[in-house]
Amino acid sequence: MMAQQTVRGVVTDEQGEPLIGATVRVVGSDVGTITDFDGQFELSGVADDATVEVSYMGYLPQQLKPSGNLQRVSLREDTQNLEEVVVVGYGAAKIKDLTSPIEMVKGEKLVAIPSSSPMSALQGKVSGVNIVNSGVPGAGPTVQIRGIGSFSNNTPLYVVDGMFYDNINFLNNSDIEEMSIMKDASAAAIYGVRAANGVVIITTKRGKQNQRADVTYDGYVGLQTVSNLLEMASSSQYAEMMLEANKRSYTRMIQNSMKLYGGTYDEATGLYSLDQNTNWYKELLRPAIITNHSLSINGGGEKATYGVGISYLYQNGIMNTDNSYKRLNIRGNVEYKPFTWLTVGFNGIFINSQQQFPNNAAWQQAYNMPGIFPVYDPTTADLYTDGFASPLTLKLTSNFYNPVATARFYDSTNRNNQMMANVYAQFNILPEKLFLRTSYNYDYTGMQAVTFIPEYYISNNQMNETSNLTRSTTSFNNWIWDNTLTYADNWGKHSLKVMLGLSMREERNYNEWIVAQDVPAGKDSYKYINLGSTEGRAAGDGGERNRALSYFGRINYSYADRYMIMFTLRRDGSSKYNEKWGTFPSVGLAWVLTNEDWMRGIEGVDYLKLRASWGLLGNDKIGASYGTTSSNVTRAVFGTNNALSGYINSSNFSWLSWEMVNETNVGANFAFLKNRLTGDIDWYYRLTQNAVISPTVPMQNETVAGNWGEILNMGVDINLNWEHKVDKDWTYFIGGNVSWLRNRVKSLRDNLQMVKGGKTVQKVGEKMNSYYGFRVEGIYQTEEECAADPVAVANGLKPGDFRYEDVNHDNVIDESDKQILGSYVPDVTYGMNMGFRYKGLDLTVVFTGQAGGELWNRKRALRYASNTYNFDLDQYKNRWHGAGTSNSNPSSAALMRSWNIGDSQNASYFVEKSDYFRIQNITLGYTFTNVGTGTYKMPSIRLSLSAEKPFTAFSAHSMTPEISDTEGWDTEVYPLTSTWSFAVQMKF
Amino acid sequence: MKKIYYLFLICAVSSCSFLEIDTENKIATSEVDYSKTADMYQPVIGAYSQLRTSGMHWANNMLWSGRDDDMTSGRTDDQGDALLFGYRGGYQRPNSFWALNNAWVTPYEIIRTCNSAQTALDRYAEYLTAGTDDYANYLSYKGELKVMEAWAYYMLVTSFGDCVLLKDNSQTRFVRSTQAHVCEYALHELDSVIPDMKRMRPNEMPHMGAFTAYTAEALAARFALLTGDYKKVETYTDDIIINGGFELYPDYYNLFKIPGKLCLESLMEVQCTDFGAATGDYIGIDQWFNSMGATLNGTVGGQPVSIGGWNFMQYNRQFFDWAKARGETVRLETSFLVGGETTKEGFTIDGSAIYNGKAYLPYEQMTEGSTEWGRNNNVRLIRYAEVLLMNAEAKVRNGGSGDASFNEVRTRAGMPTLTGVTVDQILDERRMELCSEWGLRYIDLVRTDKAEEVLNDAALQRDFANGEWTKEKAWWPVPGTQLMNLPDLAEQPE
Repeated sequence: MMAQQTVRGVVTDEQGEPLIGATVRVVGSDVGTITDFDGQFELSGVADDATVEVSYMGYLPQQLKPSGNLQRVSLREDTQNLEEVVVVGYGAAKIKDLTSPIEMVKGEKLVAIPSSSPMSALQGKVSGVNIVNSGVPGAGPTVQIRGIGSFSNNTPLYVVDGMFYDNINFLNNSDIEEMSIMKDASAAAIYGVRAANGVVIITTKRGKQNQRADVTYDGYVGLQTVSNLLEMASSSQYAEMMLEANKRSYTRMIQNSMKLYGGTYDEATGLYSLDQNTNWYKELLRPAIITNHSLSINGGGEKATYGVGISYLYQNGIMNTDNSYKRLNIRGNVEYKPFTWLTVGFNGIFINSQQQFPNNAAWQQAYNMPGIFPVYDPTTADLYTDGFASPLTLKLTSNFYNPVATARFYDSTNRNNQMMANVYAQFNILPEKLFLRTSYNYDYTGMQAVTFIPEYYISNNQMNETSNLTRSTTSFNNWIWDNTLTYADNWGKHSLKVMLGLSMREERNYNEWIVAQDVPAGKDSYKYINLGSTEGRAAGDGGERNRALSYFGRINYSYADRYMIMFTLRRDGSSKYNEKWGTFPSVGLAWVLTNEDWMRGIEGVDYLKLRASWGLLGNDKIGASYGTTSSNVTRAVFGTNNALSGYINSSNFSWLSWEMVNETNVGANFAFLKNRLTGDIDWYYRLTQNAVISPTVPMQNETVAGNWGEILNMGVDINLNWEHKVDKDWTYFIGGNVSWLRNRVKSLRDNLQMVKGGKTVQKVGEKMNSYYGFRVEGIYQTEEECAADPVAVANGLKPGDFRYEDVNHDNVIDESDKQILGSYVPDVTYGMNMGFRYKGLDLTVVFTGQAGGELWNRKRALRYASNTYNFDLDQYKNRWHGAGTSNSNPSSAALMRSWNIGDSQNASYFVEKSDYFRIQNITLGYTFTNVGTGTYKMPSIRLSLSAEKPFTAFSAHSMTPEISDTEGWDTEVYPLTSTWSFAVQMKF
Repeated sequence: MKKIYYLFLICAVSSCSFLEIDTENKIATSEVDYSKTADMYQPVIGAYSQLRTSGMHWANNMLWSGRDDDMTSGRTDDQGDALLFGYRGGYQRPNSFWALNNAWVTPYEIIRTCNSAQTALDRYAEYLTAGTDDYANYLSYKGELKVMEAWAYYMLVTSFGDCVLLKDNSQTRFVRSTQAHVCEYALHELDSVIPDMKRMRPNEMPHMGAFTAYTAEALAARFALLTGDYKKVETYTDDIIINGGFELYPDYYNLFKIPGKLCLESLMEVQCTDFGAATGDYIGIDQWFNSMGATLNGTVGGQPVSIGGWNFMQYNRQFFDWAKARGETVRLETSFLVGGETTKEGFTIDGSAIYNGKAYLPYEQMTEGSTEWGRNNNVRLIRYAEVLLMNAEAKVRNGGSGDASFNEVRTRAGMPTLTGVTVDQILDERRMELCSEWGLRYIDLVRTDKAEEVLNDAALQRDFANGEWTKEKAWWPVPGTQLMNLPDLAEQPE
């Protein structure tokens, strides 16, 4: 029997502040405790030769030998989080052992950010991850990891507690314990055919062993306002433009507005001053509330851990009509160790959400509609529904809509019920060495969509003769069954970990819809097909089923914490494609220079690790291919009301397999100057092979998909952080991340040079989704200049019109003169953060931005549809109106000629820089600790004020340079919001 | 440990069947049973459906009809490029315009579908015995496909001149054939099927409205007229006139409306139906009528009713004046919707231009509850009136008298008869009778060498005189998109 003794001690940080809740554990046993409010602990029955380890999250652990004296343990802060464990997919690894760039984001960084989707809150925080937000309440952002590498699908794979998702918009920010973002191929390859666009692994909150109940309330309430309001021409400015362009045609319309709604005409200047000056954007906007309340309780004892949580989010939309998002999340998990060889657990999230959609068509209409008539017109109130003013009053017919009415007469709701459940068991076959884990994940999502369009009449073009109701339900039933066997061992300086796995999954969805007319308006309770007319009812359905089977393995080996190697292999089978099986290998190497003897003691270099990795990934997020010609059933009419069914045999079919991403990554992690400067830098070369592209079949409108393309994304991601703890009260930090990306289409089918899509083109050697059209060289300034140019003569051009670049110098402007004009893919994205903590007070400021991309100002380009559309203020102010007035902006008359604005011209005038610089967030907070008196003290209360996206600078004539459309078409874009919020966090 | 081993083994063995699942909601071509010859008409139905959807594209109509001195697309803003294909845009014909590409691709979609339908028909025929009724039907169905194919080629040669002969869907060579070669090919194909086709009017066919030997002959006559083979024109049209049993529909106004659907005058028609309901199932032609529609306002039962269209096709006022000066009555009322005036049903016509009355359907003929332009109406592709006028022209050019056929058309239109008609009088009659139909006026001007004189007439009110019509501009250039995809198209036509 060994002698036993009681070990007592106090645990502090380097500044001598006590650390509360630090774990004190006898190595190799279950004996342990945690420190109290004063950082003190007492552990009895410790063998003399035992080793006691003291650990605390965010600090480097320390070991000590038992002694009778009170031991003072001062833990060093783990500024590089080297000891921290990060989830890597079917397992976990310490950060110090990683061979590839994996970025970890803690859930606590997200809780106070007012956003409906957790990914929105990551904007600007992680290098290599481009996040484009949307203003629509409840809508998630577009996320791209390391550029875009697919013509079909660029969404990363999200793995929530083992279940696969296309997005995590259903999670509350406070549900998240941590996220691991796997940027390169060697890290992501363990997810094989689903990993090509990067992988984000999300772990939901849970309790820890021997943790006292941690009860936390997080809440905020914020006010959202429009970030940037695009200024339009006033009605008088509009009148000036119209009359300048064509006095004969438009005088009557302007005079009508003056006659009906007032105004004056100045004989001397020939200018009208109109009283009616509706700002349609302002009419469509309002401030709106966003609020979130989350309560979570996590804890654990010797044998069991638990976590429960509930949260409620409400986001109202800034469009001045019924549009909002509500979501209730309930979460619970429990893990229990009935025997030393067995751990079982259950984890579940239940989500109920309701999204009321805005009608985004109103935004484009607000751009197009001149301010010369009002929202409501009492004089015509009996003619048009709800007293709305009709464009007909001013003889504006096709293409004109009252935008406020458009927003109003639209009622579309999605109700989602989602359940994610996961049961697992872990068999510890050899304690701490060999274990088998089996885990079954199931997700059910039921979506009910209801769209109701009431009967209304504003004009012939804006009306609905009979109300109609569309109800559709979609259900998703997905499951994954994962089985892994893990072996880990250390001997001497060697450390080895081997994991083998088998995974099966199935994804099924089924949807059905039914439409009925003449459903009464007024109440939600009327929205039943039954209440509509039986005539003209229509219904349909569809569905999809895919299965996959995968075998995978991973070997990690490290020697003396100096050299690390990781090898993974995944073999994936999928029912989706004609070629069913694919193999995805990867390898990663790392060398920690600072652990080499010859590097020790070099002043200023605390840590330096070099990494290199290579891997292959697949993308099976593209449509299933059928692999044979198909017959499409169709009908033709023979006689009165007599239709016969027949078929069209298509001679086109596609034979697809998954896209492959082949990526090499070289990088380094480092810490310099007493760990104050930390960072990482990575260079990557990411080539998508077998990219699925769908060129049109010659002489047809039909497209056929094939694995024909190659896309390159090459870039550098850099993170740098400087944090200096000056003394125990005072810390300041400044950091930044920047990502350079070179995105290029490398090759297309055979020797095809270009493939045209609907909006953009794919051209070899250029960025993906490029705009393609005529480049504006300048504006014709004088009649003489026009007369001297054969192009101007042939096309009857006038001063004020665009002069296009004649690429082939044949004095004819035609298809062969079109060229690449830009792409929405940015070259550079960056983020910066800085701030300080002084005692309880903290301030953080975050900046983000991007550069080198372009958007397509479709709002302006749509002018081809009508000469009578409104102009934005810039078009008015900077227009050409006489020789020398402008060499880039056309005259008002030119804005009415199809030479300049025709839909087939795609003039570079409509291409604008999407560069922006933004103050992403300013947060000022104060934390009160040990609040209260008597026996109970609240550990902490934190109050904070924050401004989310308060300021964005950009040059494009848009509401926002962030366009959810991956091709960067700026039309019908819901404006982005600035949110001013107050947040509270209370720990009980 | 054994359990684990089993687990992996079971999964490995079952893996093959686990991944082999059928695609939901689809039928493969290989699953079509060709021995069920009762289904033999189904690929032909598919072709009729393709003719309706691809052939009746509003943008094609806008370009086909906007080329002569009588019509213009009218719009200077939306689809303003279409003006550049007519006199108002100096026949600039930019090869970058999307609608030009559409006018090239859509006829080929019809041809492609006819090709694959013929392949399917031939596979059914393997289960048929020559000489049986079913075999006769098979030959007749093949003829229907040839007629649709020939119609598509006619639209191609009268738009682009030289074009590609797509004889096989797996064809990889896309060098264009000359206009003359395409016409020759189409005539040959039609001649080869005419003997096998039913000698009936389409409205007598078991599949009501299906194309017959007479449809094929009328189309052949169009090709022959284009190539100047007037003997053939006379032969084809004589057969139709003498043996076809066709008659001009007495009511010219309603000929183009619901009562005129599949009437005795109809040789070729694209059929639509909404099954008598304003909502729900509609087998229609998208925006064909709507694109031509003007805005009409009226009152029905005390309620204001408005019928709105896109105004994408307008008549030149000079043509209207010319028609009026001729003393036209019913054709004037039918063809022209004059802005500011009132229809005979009492609807006022919005706007100041002259819109296409042949696309107009009065409110009382509309399916109850709908105000969509032309909903439920058919599109007339070839009318007996055109056959009569082709016959008259051929007869006169062949040295005979065209008076009989010519005057039949005149009489129906309430115009006095003429004797000893000349080719020019017949061309004028075609201009009036067939206005706005399939660009026939333009084709006439080109084939009779009158285009240069007529289209460059100073009296045409051009908004911007930026180009003259020349012989080189008679037919459209190959669309830029096609040139880019198929370098063969740049080669000299053969």
